[in-house]
Amino acid sequence: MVKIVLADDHALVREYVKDWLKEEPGLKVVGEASDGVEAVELTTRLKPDILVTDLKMPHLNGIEVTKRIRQLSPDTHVIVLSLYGDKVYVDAALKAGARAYVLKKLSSDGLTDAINAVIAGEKYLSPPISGNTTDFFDS
Amino acid sequence: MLVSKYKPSKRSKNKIALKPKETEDRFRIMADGISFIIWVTDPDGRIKFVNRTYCEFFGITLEEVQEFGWHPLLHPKDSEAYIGDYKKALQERKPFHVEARVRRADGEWRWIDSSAEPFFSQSGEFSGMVGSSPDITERKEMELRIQRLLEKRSKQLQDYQTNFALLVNTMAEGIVVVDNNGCVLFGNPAASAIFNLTQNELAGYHLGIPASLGITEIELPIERQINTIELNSVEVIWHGQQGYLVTLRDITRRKRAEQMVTMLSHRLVESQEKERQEIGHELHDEVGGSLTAVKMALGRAKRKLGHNSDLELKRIEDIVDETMDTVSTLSQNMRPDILSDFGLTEALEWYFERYTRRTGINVHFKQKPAIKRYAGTIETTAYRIIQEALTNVARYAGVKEVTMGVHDDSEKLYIQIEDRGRGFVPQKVGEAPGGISGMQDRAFLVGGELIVDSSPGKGTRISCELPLIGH
Repeated sequence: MVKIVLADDHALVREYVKDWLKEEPGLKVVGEASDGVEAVELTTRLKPDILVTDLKMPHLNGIEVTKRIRQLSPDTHVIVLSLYGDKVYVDAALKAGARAYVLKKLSSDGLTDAINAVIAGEKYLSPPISGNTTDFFDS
Repeated sequence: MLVSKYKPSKRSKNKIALKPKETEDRFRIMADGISFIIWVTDPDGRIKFVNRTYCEFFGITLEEVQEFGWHPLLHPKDSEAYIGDYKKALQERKPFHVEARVRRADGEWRWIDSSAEPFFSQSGEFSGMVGSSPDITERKEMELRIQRLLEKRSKQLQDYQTNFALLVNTMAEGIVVVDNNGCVLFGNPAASAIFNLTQNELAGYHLGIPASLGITEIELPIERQINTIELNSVEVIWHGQQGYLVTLRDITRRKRAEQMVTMLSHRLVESQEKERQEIGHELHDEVGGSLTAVKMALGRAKRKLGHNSDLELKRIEDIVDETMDTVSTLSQNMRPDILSDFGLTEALEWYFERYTRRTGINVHFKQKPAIKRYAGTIETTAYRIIQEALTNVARYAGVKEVTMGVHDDSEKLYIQIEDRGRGFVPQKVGEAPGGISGMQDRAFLVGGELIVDSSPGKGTRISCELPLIGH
């Protein structure tokens, strides 16, 4: 059973991600946080296999959360789930120690794929942001 | 003119034998030929002889003078002094010299300069006075004119001095004059007030000489406060001494007001940005979040319906995707998170990449040395100014390249944006291109400067300096 903690300040997002993951066998959401500080606290206490975190959260952003989790709960893999796919953020997230970066607009399958990859010990990036091109913002 | 004691020699006594009457005649002839007034008196001071000029001048005969006297000829104001001196000279048998006014035959008053000498007979007896009284009216009038002029000028000078003193004593600006050693030679009340001294304490006070000529500012600690004084110093010669004249203006309040304006401007820019950030935040979080949820719901619906899910669902998904992109873009414009999260360099690189993709214009970005992080308002201002400048380039310049330089020293952040495009006439800023005054406002609001250098056909160069100290 893969234990997952969710961190996003938007309640609706947490709702739907939880519902989505409920459908997946072998995955269980064990905790929810609505800000960065809570995310760190929860993760260090529950020590889940995976933390799915947004970047923009009150009190502590996702990058900071990732850095701290790498220190405080090294066995927890961090997956970033964000609206923004800019290279700057992706690079920062990966540099901070995240294993995967999923775009919110591709969050359904994307999230599942990311979790599977990370469990298998690999990294995952949503297709539009893998590589150096960010075709995300077409005019 | 003297009649000298004439002692006939033994020789002449025999030969020529000049009698007293002859001497008199000679004298008379000579005197009558002289053009100024001559008169002779007897020992008692009574007129014995007057020359022709005398008679013609006064329009009087010897007999008339002898009968009526010459006192009436004198001006009433001069009469007393003249007669007094005359009598004295007569009594003491001493020379006599007085100026007085007399009435001429034509009725006009004329100035005469009377001088007389006593003369004595052969035997040494006092015989009377011989005098001359030339008409000195022109000279006298000239003297009087000069004197009056002198008095007038003197009065004028005094008026000027009074007004000057009034000015200097009541003006709000301080004035001090210091000598070459920096000691106060002169200071007005306003200056005393600035230094918190009395006028007496200020005189001779060692102030020092100004650090440089022209306008400078100094800080003056007075009564537990630091006052800022604006000085304007020039060299001066003050009553023959070399020194410096310094005007002083207390600009403490102005400085404080300026500081207040700067601070309020910062707050204004900050609150504007804050508002935008909040909107951006709402967009990203609320709208973006809801759309995420929609996407997830659609995902689930697709799953439930299997791989043969309705095309309609796919279309809905596409719309949602598009909306999410829009929200993301709008949110980034409102609240450039990259700027606040990573700083100016990252934010600019991110912006330039999108800009180039959107407009086809290449941005050559130079930063030497690599710029660091600065205060939020400065980073935001720099970012917004660059944004506006590049927007203008895309709109008006008609070029494919634009150069951007950013560098800093400990005091300022320097930004240059240059293109070789169409250029414009900077005065017509109020009309188009728009955005110039907006950029200047932003720079001004944080206490910086922005200069636009452009002319039609010669491209445009924008130079901006933003202060880093005080943030």
